[in-house]
Amino acid sequence: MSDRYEVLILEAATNDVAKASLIVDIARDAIEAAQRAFTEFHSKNGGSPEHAHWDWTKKFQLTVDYELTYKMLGIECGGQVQGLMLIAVGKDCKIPSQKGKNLVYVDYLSAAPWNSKATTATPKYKLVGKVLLQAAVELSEDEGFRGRIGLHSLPQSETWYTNIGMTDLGKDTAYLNLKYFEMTPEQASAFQKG
Amino acid sequence: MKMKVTKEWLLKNANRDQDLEVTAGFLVDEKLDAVYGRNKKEQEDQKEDIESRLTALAQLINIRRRIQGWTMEQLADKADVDLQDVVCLEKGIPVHLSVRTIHKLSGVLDLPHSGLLRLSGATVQRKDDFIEHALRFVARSQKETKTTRQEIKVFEEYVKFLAEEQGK
Repeated sequence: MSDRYEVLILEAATNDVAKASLIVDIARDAIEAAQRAFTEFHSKNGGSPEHAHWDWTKKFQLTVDYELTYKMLGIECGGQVQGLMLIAVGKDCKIPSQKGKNLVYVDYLSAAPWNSKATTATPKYKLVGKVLLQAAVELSEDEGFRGRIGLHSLPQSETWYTNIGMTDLGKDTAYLNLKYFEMTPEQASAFQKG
Repeated sequence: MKMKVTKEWLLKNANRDQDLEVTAGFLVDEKLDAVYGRNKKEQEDQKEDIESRLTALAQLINIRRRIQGWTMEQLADKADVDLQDVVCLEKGIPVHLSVRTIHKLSGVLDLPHSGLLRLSGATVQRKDDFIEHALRFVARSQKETKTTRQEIKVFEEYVKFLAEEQGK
């Protein structure tokens, strides 16, 4: 069953605040509708962000087959899914000082293509990805992991993860050389404060 | 869960990082294909492993609770967890449990914390004889209204195994 939380995102053109819902354990039909809309947008508008070929319905299957580990979260605004995130609960920390601790691993995260500058010159909403990442930190706190999260960044996002203070653990050869980042409890606290 | 997203937080982030994308994950779906491209037998084995873990967890909690002479409701009260979580756990129904819930239950029931975490699926499974031990425990313990001496013996042996696992 899905849980909804009221959150805020910004209209990209005006910086006006837009009320949105964060949906935890988003339902299959919402994912399927979102995937159809993402695919349609890509086919009409072109653009080729690195993650354009992701199939969120396939990722959703992980939450069914490994229900205790995976969760899918989405942000909905204006009746449409504006961004999605798949997380895995309880992976091991890699930062030496956090050895033996668990974290929430962000398996996949992206905004809808109409919110991405890689796809359109006029994005509709912004900060969707950042609010989703904030949700990952909150979930980590709920799990008793004190805000620890980890993720493999797509190349265009590396600077942002560095800017928000996450620890860069370098390129992961087991993961197509994507850089692996982790957030400690102290970094999570600083991120939440902004 | 609480979400602390304020207008100020948004605007501060928007002004600082307006041209940066926030994305994460494997570039293509190859990782998923690797997971789902496994042959059918491997997929079936994986499902059986999950069932074995959940059944062992259900049996473990059920027996310890009955040894204590508690109802499910009393266990939920003592551990300060949702009754629904206890009911699902004892019925082996997959339910997302927080680490905190497992921690509370292991404390009240005096069962090894990390063992319960592994059985619940909250921590990543290593490939070892963990599942085999879980299966053996399920196969040897019996569900009866009153716990039998044999059932307690099998239960204690399995708790000992979980405690030794924790020490590894």
